[in-house]
This record gives sequence, structure tokens and C-alpha cells, in this order.
Amino acid sequence: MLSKTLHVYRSISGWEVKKEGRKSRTFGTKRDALAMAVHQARNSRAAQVVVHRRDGRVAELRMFGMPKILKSPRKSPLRQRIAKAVGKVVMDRLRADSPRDHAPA
Amino acid sequence: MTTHLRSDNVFINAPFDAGYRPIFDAIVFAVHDLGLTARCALEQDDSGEIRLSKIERIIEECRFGIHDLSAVELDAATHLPRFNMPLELGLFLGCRRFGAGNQRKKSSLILDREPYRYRTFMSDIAGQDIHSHAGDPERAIIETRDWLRAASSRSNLAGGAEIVKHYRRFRHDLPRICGALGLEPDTLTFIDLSDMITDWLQTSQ
Repeated sequence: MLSKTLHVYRSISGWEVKKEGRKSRTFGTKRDALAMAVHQARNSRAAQVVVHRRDGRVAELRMFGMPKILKSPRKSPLRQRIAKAVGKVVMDRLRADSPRDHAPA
Repeated sequence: MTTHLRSDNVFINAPFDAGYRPIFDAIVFAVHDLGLTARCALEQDDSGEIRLSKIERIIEECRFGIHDLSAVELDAATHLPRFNMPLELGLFLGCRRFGAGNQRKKSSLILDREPYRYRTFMSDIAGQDIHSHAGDPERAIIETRDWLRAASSRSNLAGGAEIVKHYRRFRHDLPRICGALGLEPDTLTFIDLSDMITDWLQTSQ
């Protein structure tokens, strides 16, 4: 299945733009990386761009031709820890995809 | 009741106990993957609010309702049937029938584990949208998706097969997510499950 998510995150080389299962592209600045990710997303039928914090949590999310994912109106007391745990699993997947790009967490 | 209906809220009226969790979790996932919000009587465990009042309030806020009647069967210990699901279905249908204003826009999907089983215990619901998931979580996802696609008239929704693929990947990741939190995947509260699903969908589609 082709991933619809373009990840933007920091690595030892700079800022990466990556879809799972594909090689990442490295940029010198977050601004350039985000601009490329948004450009690619706009040229897709449906895509989302996720900018990650260092711990994997979502810092910014942009949707293109996809329904927005809505949060429950009730907040879990574990909300922050859940976001961190999910972010770590995602970042681990990205690191496993292209280990040379990444600094240790 | 006129003002509180939210067009992106879906009331999940389904059993939550261990035997039915796979179906429940799959329906909740499909609802969130479609860009809607799953609501359920279990979303507030600590409230002093009377349970029926809480259910009425959530029903009032939800335009859509998914009602799984699979658990309507004789309990092995008490030899009595469980009727919470039909009661909440009746409240939802009554709200649509007798409620004012946009409450009449409510729409329901009724699920059961076998087609036409409802005829033996609740034949008066004939004519509603009634489908069988055959106890299969992936079939429940596809039934949920197809019905919500038609009932909501939304156009940019993922297909059933795509949501099933997302769900398989989510189930693959869930033990690691839960492991980091010291939780068990099969005993998550509704709110924790809902948060994990939405966080995962925001990063993993």
C-alpha cells in the first residue's frame, strides 16, 4: 500500500522528507523540507504532511484531499504519554527504514 | 432537543466486554479513519452523572449511530438476555422520530453477527439498515465504511479495503504503543483507545 504520509523530521544530516518505504530527501532547513513536502502533497490525490518533534510527537499536521482526523471530545489523562508512545513507534519505523539518516533519540 | 447535534459524531452502541472487543475496536477505528468522531457511553468513567442521562446526552449530540446487537443472547449465568443495546437503539430511533429540528437528521446502522437473527427477538426493526458482520472485525469495518459513506454523503473517504489495511498496521503497532505505557491492548479504556487511534492515523496513513 502506498503511504499517504510525508514525514518531516530532524536528522544528523539536516531535515528529512520521507514516505515510508522510500528513500528520504535531506534539506538544510526545516522551511525547505516543509516546502518540498507540501509541494509533493499538493501534487498527490490525497496526502498528509506531518512535522515531527524530536521525540516523534506531531508538531504540525497538514491534510491535502483527506478528511481531517478528529479527536474525541473527552481527553484521556494519558493523552501526552500516548502521543509520545505513538510518535516513538513511528520514528522507530522511519529509522529502521533508513538508519544512516538518524541521530540516536 | 434542537441544538446539540454534531454531524461528525457517531454513537457506538456495542458491547465492550472481552468477547466483543475485536468488533468494537474495529468499528471505532473505521469511524476515526473516515474523519468522524466515535462516541460511546464509556467515554466518561468518573462522572457522577446517572448512566442513562449520560447516554441520552451523547445520543443527542450524535448524528450517526452504529448499533451492534450481537450481544442480545441469554447470559450463561443468569439465563436472561442483555438489553442495553436494544434500549439505546430505541432511544436513538425515538430521538430521530420525536426530536425537534436537526435531530430528525439522525441515521442508524444496525449490525448483528448473523443476517436476519433480529427477526426472532426484535422483528419490529425490519426496514432499518441492518447488516451482518458475521463476527469478523474486518467485515465490520467494511460495513461501517460503506454505510457511513452513503449516510454522510462524504466523497473523499478511504475505501473499505484501505481502512482494513490501516487497521492491520495499527494492530501490529498497538502492542508496542501499549508496552511503552504499561498497558494491555485488550483492556484499554475507550478514551485511551480512541486517542491511540487518532494519534496513529495522524502519522501512519
